[in-house]
Amino acid sequence: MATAGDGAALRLPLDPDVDFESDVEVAAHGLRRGSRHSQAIIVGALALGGVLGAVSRSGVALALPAETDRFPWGTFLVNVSGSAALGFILILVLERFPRGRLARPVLGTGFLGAYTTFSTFMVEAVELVRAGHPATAASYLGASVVAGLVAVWIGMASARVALRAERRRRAGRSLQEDAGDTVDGPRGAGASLEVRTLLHDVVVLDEIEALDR
Amino acid sequence: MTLDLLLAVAAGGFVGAPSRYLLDRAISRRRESDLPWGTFVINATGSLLLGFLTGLALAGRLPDIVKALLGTGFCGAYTTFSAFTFETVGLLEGGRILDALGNVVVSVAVGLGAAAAGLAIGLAL
Repeated sequence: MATAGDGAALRLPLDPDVDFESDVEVAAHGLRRGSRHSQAIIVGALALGGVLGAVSRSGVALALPAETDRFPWGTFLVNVSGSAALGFILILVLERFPRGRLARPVLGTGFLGAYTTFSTFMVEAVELVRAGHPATAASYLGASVVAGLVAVWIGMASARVALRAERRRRAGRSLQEDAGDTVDGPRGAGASLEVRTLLHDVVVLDEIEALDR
Repeated sequence: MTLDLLLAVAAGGFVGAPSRYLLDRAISRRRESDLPWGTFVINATGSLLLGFLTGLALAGRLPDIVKALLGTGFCGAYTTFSAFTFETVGLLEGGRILDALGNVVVSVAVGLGAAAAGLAIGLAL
């Protein structure tokens, strides 16, 4: 669950593609008998996401075919856009449906995991070197990593902005509905608890509050 | 792209994504470390395999349909860039700058080495 408390640093699940087991446990609480069944459904959902991701990636590769003497824009665009989407989805979309057990495996692990690719990235860099373009290979490596990291950050930041707006809107509405009941306004305990529940274990509440200040 | 190649890519993705999940989970359970070892092992082994397939293809010993199935489909879906970048940003946000830097440098260096080794083996066969 949420690691709120110390407020020191935002902790993300270090293996985002795997961590959804806790979602399963929440949703299938007390349904141990069904866990094998749940696992099969999740693996099936992953496979479906994998099909869509792999086919989408080859669609981009078809539109922007890689050559061994040019910067591989196709894979670059796939990896950067997939990184942005994963950052956005893991922060925002899935906490809106914290008990939706299939959204994360299908979209995150399945689709985006399969859409983006590390092996093609590596092999293209090696082929550029082999074809006598080490400088292009180096810029491809550096640009992919830097743009990928920035893309994740932009995706996460966009999701947080959207979350804050949503939270203010909800808190404002609840204040109007029962003015006097809420002790200390939009950032009070009620709103915090709601957000804490929503955020599940993806985001630490304190980080959002810190951003608000 | 012909329909059979597209279906081969789809079949590779169908197997590749769940394989990544299952292996990642097995590695995470075995290791206490909170460094993203699962993604690292997956990306390194997938790069080795794709390098090998690419070497075979360059030597003219790999039919297009097998390249689509195992290369574009399986290796592409099995390995992942988005989890790599996301996990690295997670380390950065936790203030673990050196771990993040190490993850990037080691993942890329080992991935390149694996891809180059696989390519050499595929060409030599």
